[in-house]
Amino acid sequence: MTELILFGSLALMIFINIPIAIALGLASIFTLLYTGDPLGVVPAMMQATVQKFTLLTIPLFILAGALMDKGGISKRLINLANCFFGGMHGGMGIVAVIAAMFFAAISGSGTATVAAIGSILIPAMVKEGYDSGFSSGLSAISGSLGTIIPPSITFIIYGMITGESIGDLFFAGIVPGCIFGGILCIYTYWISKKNNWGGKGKMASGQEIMKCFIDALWGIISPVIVLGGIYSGILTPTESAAVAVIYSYLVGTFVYKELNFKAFAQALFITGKTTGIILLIIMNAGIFSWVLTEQGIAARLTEFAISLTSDKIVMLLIINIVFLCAGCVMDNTSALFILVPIVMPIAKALGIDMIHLGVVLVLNLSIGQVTPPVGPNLYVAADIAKVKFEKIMRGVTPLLLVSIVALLIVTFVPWLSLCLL
Amino acid sequence: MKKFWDNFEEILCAFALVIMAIITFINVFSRKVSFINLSFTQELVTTMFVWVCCLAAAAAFKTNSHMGFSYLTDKLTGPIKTTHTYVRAILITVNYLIWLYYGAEMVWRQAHYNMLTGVLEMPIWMIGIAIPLSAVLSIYRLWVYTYINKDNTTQQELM
Amino acid sequence: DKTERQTVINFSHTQAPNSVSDLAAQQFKKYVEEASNGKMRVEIFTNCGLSGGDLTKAIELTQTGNIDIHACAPANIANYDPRFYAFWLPFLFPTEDNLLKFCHSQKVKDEVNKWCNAIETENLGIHNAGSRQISNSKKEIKTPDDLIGMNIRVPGANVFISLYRTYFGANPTAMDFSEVYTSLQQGAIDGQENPIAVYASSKFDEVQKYVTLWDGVRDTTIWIMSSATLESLTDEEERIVRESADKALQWANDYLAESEGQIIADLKKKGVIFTELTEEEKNAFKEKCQGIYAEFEPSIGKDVIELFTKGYLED
Ligand code: NA
Ligand code: NA
Repeated sequence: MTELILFGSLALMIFINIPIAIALGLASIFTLLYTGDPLGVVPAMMQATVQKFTLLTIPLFILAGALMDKGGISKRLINLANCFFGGMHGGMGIVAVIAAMFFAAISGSGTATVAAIGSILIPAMVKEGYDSGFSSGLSAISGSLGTIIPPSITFIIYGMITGESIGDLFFAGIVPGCIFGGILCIYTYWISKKNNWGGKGKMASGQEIMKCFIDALWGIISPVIVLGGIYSGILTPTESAAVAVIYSYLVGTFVYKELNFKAFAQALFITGKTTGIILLIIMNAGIFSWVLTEQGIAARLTEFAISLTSDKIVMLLIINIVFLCAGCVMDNTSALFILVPIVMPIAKALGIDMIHLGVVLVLNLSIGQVTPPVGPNLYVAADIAKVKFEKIMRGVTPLLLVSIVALLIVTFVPWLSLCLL
Repeated sequence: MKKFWDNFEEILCAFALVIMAIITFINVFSRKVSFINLSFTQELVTTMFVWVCCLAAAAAFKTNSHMGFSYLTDKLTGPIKTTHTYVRAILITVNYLIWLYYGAEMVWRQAHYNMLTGVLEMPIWMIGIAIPLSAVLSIYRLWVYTYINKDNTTQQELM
Repeated sequence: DKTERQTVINFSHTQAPNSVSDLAAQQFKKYVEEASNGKMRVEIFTNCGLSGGDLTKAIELTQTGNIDIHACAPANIANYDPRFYAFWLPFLFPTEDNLLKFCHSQKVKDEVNKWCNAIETENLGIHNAGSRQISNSKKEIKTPDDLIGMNIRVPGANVFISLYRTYFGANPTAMDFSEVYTSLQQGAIDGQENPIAVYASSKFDEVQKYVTLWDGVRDTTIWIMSSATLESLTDEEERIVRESADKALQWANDYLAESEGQIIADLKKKGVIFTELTEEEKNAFKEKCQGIYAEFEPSIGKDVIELFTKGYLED
């Protein structure tokens, strides 16, 4: 009955166009009223969910992206990318995938990646004639999946729960991460060719490339500072976002001289609004997650699902389904802390390698970052692309199916995860 | 003055964002240069972040920009559409009234027990009060929008 | 199965699955469910799972009754009452025996319970959580001077920040715990300090090789219960809860005494270099930071410092 109230009222409210954030909050409130739990938890979880230093990467990278756009850095970077890939169908899309995978790998945050890379490349793709739903879906999903390439916070949490070596988990994520990147690139090429997206430019001459390169030099330095700063240990990911903001502001104002006060204020307004929209969803998802945790719903459904079989292959499929579903409605940390202790003993008994299991679970949860109703990365991309929910869903659905194919490959070929150990 | 009030949340958020970026930027040097002592950075910045989230979430109601699934409801017309508009606004209001009531209770507790943050020793109610305040602003912005756009509730293109 | 009313107790703690806090909670669950013949049920939530991982919110939610029992470092409650910082004063207890005497002292229990009652909670007891030892990636720390200029991650509390900055000349950073592993790995920070069990379960041995066993702060875990929950229990239920808590806390003390040596032996096999200090070497650190007692006396109170340094021994 509790499950029915929670999920039923959520679905109903989403269908009648209650904002997704409010639907998550109200569904939780109705359930709390039914179970008689004190409602004091509502504002407390609101505050607890957003009072996190690491979340700061979201507004700061969105702001950096907006400043790069208004300050003329973005268009120069895009020109440069066009010099190399403009002549190829899906070229800009492939650039978006690789840039996002790379950025997510080092920053460790999918949402920050979508904010940073998406705010430059989604508009660029749309300008080249790509479908806006596809462009934003592609940025969202490649940023999310990049987080499995080390370092990765989800792997750290999994390692702490299971006692597996975090260093081993990091190595295990590399090959599956690259496979996902490769499959997304191939799909992008194929669909772009079919729909005639991109490919309008012609191969640039060496001289033109040189000119674009020099023109974009100040822009190229930005990711070098951000990623190099994190990688060398000078900056934490959160600090790197602040550095990106200051750098973009200085270059836009004093080097390219395109960023005036009005454009600066506009960038701040856009950032504020996007932050409000995304974080309201994250806050309410925090309450929803609380109800799933406290009422034992997630644990109960998982216990039921894994009791259905004792066959290793079927069990792996069930674990995938359980974690894909969990990813739809929960944040990664809660899902790991609640579900891993339930799944771990049965997986061990069936002889599933715990490192391999970690890769599979983290991939599932990464995909969950782009599935509604709780899919912050999807919403950041939608907000940047200024597209409606339905539109981005149409764009992202085929990409999700492609990802699930890749997920099955990683699930049933453990060697891919274990070959580097 | 009217113009300021129309953009009240956005202006506060803009200032906060600038300060947050600068403080976090300076924090990088605090590890390298020992005379810069900024152990309070994290607390100050997360406090401002809670405020930005709460204010900006309220501001998004001005343009009905919160993410939602409007495919079915866009097809509604006439009196059903009007009914839907008000039912929707009432449900959102119910949610925020609960935020408001229990948020106020939480803030009262935080003030009553004189709760202080760990480093700056700043009253915690100064963070918590962003939540009931956000509820009040959200309800206000929501109903202003609903009143002005009585006949058209499709989600606007963002920005 | 709803023929009889079942009392459910939500037990939350701050540590990972299978940590000392978690194992003690599991013992408590076992004792309560046995003693009540299944009429009471205990649900355990690890890693502050009922407050979104937030340490302070967990206590607020204990007040509202959303959490029934919460186990945490006493200093986490200091947002309410700075007297709880007394638990984190450096070098309070010269030996582990002193700490155990402190945990069992009725005087201490009653005093701390008064502080807890003032914030709508009840003190169920305190157990040993292990000494907070300092680890780093650079060198063996043997003297206070070795700390000068080091970037050390500490909890976001002024006792720690002042200790490291003012008295040891280090650069303390109050960083989110989730960022610590990566920051240690990439060198954004040089070291951190935590009980050795937390060091092991967080896998810091993969990125930090040097641990100094200086017993800087002998840490404790306090179990607080929501006053709202306590009032809702029958006398019989309350008796079961209190007795089970006493047994589980004692179990935790015994477990820690056994397991810590084993954890250190395992870490040594993995190549962690432990620096054991002589009494004299420990005293060098202790003397260097004596000023902190005077610094925090106005907020903690002279009587409390008296109780924590000497008073508990008279019990
Ligand atoms: Na990563
Ligand atoms: Na999701």
